[in-house]
Amino acid sequence: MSKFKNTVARGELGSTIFRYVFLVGSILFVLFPLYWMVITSLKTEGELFAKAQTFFPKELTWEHYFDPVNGIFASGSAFPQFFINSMIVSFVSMILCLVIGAYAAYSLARFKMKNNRSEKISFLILTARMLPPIVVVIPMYLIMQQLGLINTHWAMLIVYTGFNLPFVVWMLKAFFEEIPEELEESAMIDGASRMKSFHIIVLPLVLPGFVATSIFTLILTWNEFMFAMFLLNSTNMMTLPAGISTFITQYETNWGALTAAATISIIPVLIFSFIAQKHLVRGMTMGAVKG
Amino acid sequence: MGNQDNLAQQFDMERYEGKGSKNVKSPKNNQKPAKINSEKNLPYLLLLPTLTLLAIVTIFPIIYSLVVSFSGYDTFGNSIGFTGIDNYSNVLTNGDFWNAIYVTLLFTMLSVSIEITLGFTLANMVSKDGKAMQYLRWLLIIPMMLSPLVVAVVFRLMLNTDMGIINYLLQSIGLPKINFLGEASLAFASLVFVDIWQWMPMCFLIILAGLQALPRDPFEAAAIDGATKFQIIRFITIPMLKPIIIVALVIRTMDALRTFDQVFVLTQGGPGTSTETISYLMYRSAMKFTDFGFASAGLFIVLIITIVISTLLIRMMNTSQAKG
Repeated sequence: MSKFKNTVARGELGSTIFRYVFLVGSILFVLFPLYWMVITSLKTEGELFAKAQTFFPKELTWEHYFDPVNGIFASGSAFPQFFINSMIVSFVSMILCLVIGAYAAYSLARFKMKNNRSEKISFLILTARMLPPIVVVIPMYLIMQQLGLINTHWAMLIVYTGFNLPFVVWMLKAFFEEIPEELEESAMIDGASRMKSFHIIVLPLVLPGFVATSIFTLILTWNEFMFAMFLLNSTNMMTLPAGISTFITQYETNWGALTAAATISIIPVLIFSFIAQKHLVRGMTMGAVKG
Repeated sequence: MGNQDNLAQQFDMERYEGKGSKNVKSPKNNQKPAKINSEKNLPYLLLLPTLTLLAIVTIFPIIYSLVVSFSGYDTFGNSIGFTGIDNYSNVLTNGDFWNAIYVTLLFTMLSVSIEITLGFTLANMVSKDGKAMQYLRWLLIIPMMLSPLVVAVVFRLMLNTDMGIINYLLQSIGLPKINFLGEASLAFASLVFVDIWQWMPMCFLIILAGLQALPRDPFEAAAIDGATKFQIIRFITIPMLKPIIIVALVIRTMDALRTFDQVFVLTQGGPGTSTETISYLMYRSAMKFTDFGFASAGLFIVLIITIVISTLLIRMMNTSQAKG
């Protein structure tokens, strides 16, 4: 017995060392690009293009952010407008998604339609999520052009709300399915209608689910690039990813400003995602795996 | 929006009716049919706004592009009328199209398999360690929350030949400079690398969630019977985790097949067409050459390929879940 214990202990030591090396390695692997982005945005022009790269900048500067001429927050810079546009588009489409999607999710979670229809509809909604956006974006571009909606936030709201709905419906459906049906039944016995018991009993209970779903919807919209690039073409309408992509050609060598823009653009996403951490896995798998 | 208003009105009416019938205290058998009736349409009513909007952003554009795919376009993007199946035969005989399919499939298979393998290894390493898991999870969320476009910008800086940090490190240990994005196979490998950086954490998190939900007994029993770590993973962990691994596989495959942002920023499909994914080729033919007919025909073929792959994947997911 003691011999057995010894071998286990010896084997454990080797694997523990290997484990920690692997863990530290993967942490460095993940964090280094982010660190590099942030410090590049804080380096002076001289240090950026110096022959010897520095891992810890000798001198920190905010010039890429706040310089009145070249900074991304300078009055002539389009960056603040990108940020505002992203905010408008993501928040409005998130609210639309939740309001429209919640009823659909509730319907799919609760009602048994004949011929297994609710499962078929769920599947149909899921296939919409699987559709590659490129299949839709080119005809969408032509349609929006004919409707005169190119380069408007209306076009973005329609597209983003529609495209995020499958995600919202699937995720909320998983949350609704966890609420015991008896709660609504007892409310209905007390005389409340189906919808009243939904609004008064069920909605407050899935509030955490709503928060998580809304944050994931925000992040999806905030990061979306392809639709924004196709449907928006003036800098005062562009969202952040589309705007930053124009910076790449415009400031090919101005890495300070480019990384500063990248850094600012990820801050809201970081804040959102830490709030919804607990629901992360569920969000990434649309409720297929409980996290 | 109109649908939304209609629906809201209907909810209000229903609430109103509910109250009314309660006040009247009608006999039960009178109340029941009314309720069944309203319940019968309610599920569809609730689904209506979602399905309408989904139709607007998916079915409508697809029908539109079906029409477009049978029309020709001049160099200014103006329609020059019906051209039959010309666009389809152009696409199917186009070398770039088949190249893009090959690049997309190779990219997807490589990056997804590496991501799942690494994610699985990492998840198995931290699954027992509560603290390490918490911190790691906290850190690993970051890459997958970022916009792929921003990630690609950062890697474009790091992979830069003259001032990129990776080349600087290579030089400082005496190796020559490498033009990562300028050589076909290296540019492709760089794309795979960036994809792994961003999405390996997601595979890790999904698999970790699955691992933590597994019952402990089989592992303890195997350890008592003297099974080695490798045997435990091979014969207990992998079979039990299969449904979860397949979920990760399906989700990652769907996303990898549509890769566009990273290609746009890092390589523009180049050098040559060595990193041109399907999405990028379609973008190029539609926006740069304004050949909407060609692009739409291509999209239809892509759509069919995607439907086949998704059906296979979903079937795989369903059977594995039914068994698990």
